[in-house]
Amino acid sequence: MQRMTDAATSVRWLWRGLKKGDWLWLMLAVVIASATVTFVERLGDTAKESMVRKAAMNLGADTVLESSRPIGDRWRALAEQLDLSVAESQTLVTMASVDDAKGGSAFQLVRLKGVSPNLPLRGSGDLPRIPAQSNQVWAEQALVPLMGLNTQPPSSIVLGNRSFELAATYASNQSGLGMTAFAYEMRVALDQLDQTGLKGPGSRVSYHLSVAGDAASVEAFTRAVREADTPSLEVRSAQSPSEDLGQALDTAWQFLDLAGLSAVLVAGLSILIASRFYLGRWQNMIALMRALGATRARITRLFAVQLMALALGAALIGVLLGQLLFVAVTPLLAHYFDPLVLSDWRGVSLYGLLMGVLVLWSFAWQAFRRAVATPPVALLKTISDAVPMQHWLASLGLILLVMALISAGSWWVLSAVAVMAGLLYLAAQVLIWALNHWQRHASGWLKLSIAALTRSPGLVRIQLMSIGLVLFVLMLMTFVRADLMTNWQLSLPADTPDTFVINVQPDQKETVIRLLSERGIDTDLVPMARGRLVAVEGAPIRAEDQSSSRGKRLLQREANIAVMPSPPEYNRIVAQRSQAEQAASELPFVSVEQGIAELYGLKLGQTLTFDFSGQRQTYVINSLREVTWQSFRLNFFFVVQPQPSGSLPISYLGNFALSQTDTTPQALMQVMGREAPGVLVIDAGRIMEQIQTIMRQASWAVSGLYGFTLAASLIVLLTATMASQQSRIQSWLLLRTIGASQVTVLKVGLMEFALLGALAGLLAATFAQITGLLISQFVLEMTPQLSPMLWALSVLLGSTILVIMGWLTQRHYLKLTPSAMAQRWG
Amino acid sequence: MPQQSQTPSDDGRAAEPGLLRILKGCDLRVQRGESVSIIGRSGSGKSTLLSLMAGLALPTEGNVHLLGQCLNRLQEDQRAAVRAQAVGFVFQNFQLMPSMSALENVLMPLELFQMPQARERALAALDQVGLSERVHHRPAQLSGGEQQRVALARAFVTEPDVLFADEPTGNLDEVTAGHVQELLFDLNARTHTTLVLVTHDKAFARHCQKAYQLTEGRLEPVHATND
Repeated sequence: MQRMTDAATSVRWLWRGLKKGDWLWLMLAVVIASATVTFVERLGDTAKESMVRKAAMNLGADTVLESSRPIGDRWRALAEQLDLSVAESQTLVTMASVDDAKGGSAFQLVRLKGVSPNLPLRGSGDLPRIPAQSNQVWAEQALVPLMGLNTQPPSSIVLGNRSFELAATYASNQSGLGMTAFAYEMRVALDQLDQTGLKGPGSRVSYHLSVAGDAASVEAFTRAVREADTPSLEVRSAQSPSEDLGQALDTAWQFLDLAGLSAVLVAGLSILIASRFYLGRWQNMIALMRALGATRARITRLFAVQLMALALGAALIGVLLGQLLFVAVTPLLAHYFDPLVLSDWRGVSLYGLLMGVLVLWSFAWQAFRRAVATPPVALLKTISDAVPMQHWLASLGLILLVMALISAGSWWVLSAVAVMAGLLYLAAQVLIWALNHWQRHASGWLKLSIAALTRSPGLVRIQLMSIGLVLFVLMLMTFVRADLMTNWQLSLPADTPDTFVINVQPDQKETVIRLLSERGIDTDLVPMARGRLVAVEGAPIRAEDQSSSRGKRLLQREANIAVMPSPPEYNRIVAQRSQAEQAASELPFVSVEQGIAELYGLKLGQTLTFDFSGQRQTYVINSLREVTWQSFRLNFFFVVQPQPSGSLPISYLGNFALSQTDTTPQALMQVMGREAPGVLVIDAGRIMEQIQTIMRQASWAVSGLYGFTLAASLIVLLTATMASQQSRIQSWLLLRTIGASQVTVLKVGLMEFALLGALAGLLAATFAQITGLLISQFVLEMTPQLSPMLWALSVLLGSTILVIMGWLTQRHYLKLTPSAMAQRWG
Repeated sequence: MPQQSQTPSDDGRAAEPGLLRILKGCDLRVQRGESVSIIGRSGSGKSTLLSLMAGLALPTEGNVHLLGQCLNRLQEDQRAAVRAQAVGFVFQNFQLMPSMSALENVLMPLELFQMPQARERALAALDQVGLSERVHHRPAQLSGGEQQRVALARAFVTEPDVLFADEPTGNLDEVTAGHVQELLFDLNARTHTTLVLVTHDKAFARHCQKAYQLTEGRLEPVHATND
């Protein structure tokens, strides 16, 4: 009962305070924090779900099980039990020919896919739905020029011992680069596949079970399959995009998260400063309440309920704002995502609400704990308002928790925030020491300004740290953002390869080079062999022993392994054996991509054994390489040295920017089909478009978040000037009383702001320079450059902004007569 | 019946190193309904003595009894309970909440302890101190005398058994101080509250039934002739 009435009293007091604008700064900060979190999360979820849906449409399902043996009824039963739609298909590689006396093209290697009538389960697009018992065949468009196919009148295509009529053609549905698929696809009804007689003993058929349905059921199904860990079963999911697309997405999310995080951090800082400003008020009120007989527990309750109600109310407004903003940008999103899948608003709203509450509590915790511990005797004696270290540590712990939640536990982000805060604190300490020193040698109004600034060093430290961090974040976002945008655009220059030729046999190499050079394309064909890693240091490496699904997947299938004397120049070597070690080595070398080395724990000097179509070869790891997957250059996990015996089953592949020439992919396919049969031309333009779209989306969203950070920064600057208002005005009153002119008070007042801004600017520029250098060096891999102008600019900017803020918030008091000032503040 | 007695700190014992001994052997007994003043110069320890008597702080030595309870033996929350039931305060610097109106300041203790008809009582208290026209003004919009009258209304609205007043006119001019003193004694007489007044103003102190002088930590009764 007591608690209920306390809650009612708290809410009543809070409401009164709100009406008078007492809680304005805390409220605004929480609103911004939760609006940012809500908007970023909703945007991110929608983008992810839209992309997964798109991937699902390409896959024709949410998840596909693939096996070299018939997939038992167990998984179909589970899928049906989970209320998922289920479809089946079987694929085999065979030769197709056109049954046409006038002579279509020669025999063509195709991937023949028998599909059940309900496939594809996701997306209608170009993929055909093939009724049962249909005697028609559907062919991938690329096969039309290769085989000289027609739909009017329909070509007759012979597959095994059956002949099918061509119904229609469809666009490729390969979502990756398609380099694993060595042949173009044809589709027939599943029940007709058996009639072709191609599924005999020894034929390599792969069986697929496709499922689709609501996300939770699909996840449950996928998890069950993965947990069963059937070695012959491979899971392909719309959730795991291809290597290059995945990396582009990761970068985009990381930058989005960082932009959101900076807005929340800045909003938190304004809470931190505002909490110092409220601390004085709370302490007076709490001391009085204690004197009047309220117990500490009761006071804690009364204030906790007020803060909690404030946090919930403000977070609710923030969530609404975030959602409204999202609704406002939905038409824009529809331009970028097709299909646009709007994520569920409820989970995100709850998260935004929680984060708003957490942000308030974490940044205000120290002031709250200090305030509720105010002794009643504070009414009669001046007591220190210094916050004990344990409260600061608790606050810091909570802040790190909030940051961890937002940055999804990214330890480097947390460490960077903690280190940055610590360094700023130390730097602020040094600056205050320097100010004290300066004050002793200064005179006149300058001395008074410095004295005013150093009057409460605790508050000035927080102000310096906060304003410094705000300016730092703004500078970093302005400059680094511009750098990143440029870098992203540069990362895909106009001559980025967009077309691949693969499966070029050694005897076709010269022909292909000639055909390409006739069309103005100058490219090297890289020799490669398809092989599978089977042993490390002589010990077998098995997919089932791997804990990560990527680790399993990569061992289950053959990889493209480059056969070159040394790795390509555009790969950066990150580790290499010494000359002496190389000379002493008897085995040929292999160069391993860094990520793969980490995945399997491979080290320099270890031996790797590969299986190339039954032929085993052992190599020693000579170097580790860093590969930029988004570059669209020819990249390989492994590069092995050619064997003198030359016995590896080699084919060649190459890539180039076909869009820079007059030749179309179709024309190239046609000529290759004619003069170099079996060579596949892969158009990768679509996936590049996807990546470019993601980058555009990310840069656009980052600009939006930049607006949030700016708004939060404005509040930090305002609270920073308000926090020390009372004592500042009291000292102005004193100056006016002892005869200082209005101009002198104005100079003292504005100089204090100018100094604070300049010092914060100095700190921010120094930290921005260091961070910029580190980012240039290690992230963007550009030549780092120091910019002395940044310091001058930052100091000037900091003091100008603070003077403007100070003038806007304090001008009223700067102009008051001593008596009016005394009446209001004396 | 003794309502309050206190004996902080006996003289003759060595103070702990680093501790400043402010009060030395003060022995004071105040009866229910009495008005007692303690006078002394600035820094003589008057406010310290008041904070000990009200249980806002604890003595390092000696005992303080308030309303029959030994405050030394009580936890802070138990002392708070004693204050909640029977104690009111008036301070030199008024201690009004700047963001609250006069009415809200007076309402605060009533709402804190969920007293019935809080608003009516607060309005009546403000009326008693002559501020019924200024109930919605904030402290900054009131004169010093008016602010102290709000503080008096807040102190008396809970009808405390004991009122501790720490230099209640210390921040006011002579005329205003006179009005506030008059009001204080008037309210005291009407509510039969025990009054403990700390002041450096001897004339003000003389209005109390008993007066004590605090000099160098020692409390001496002031006789009527001692002016």
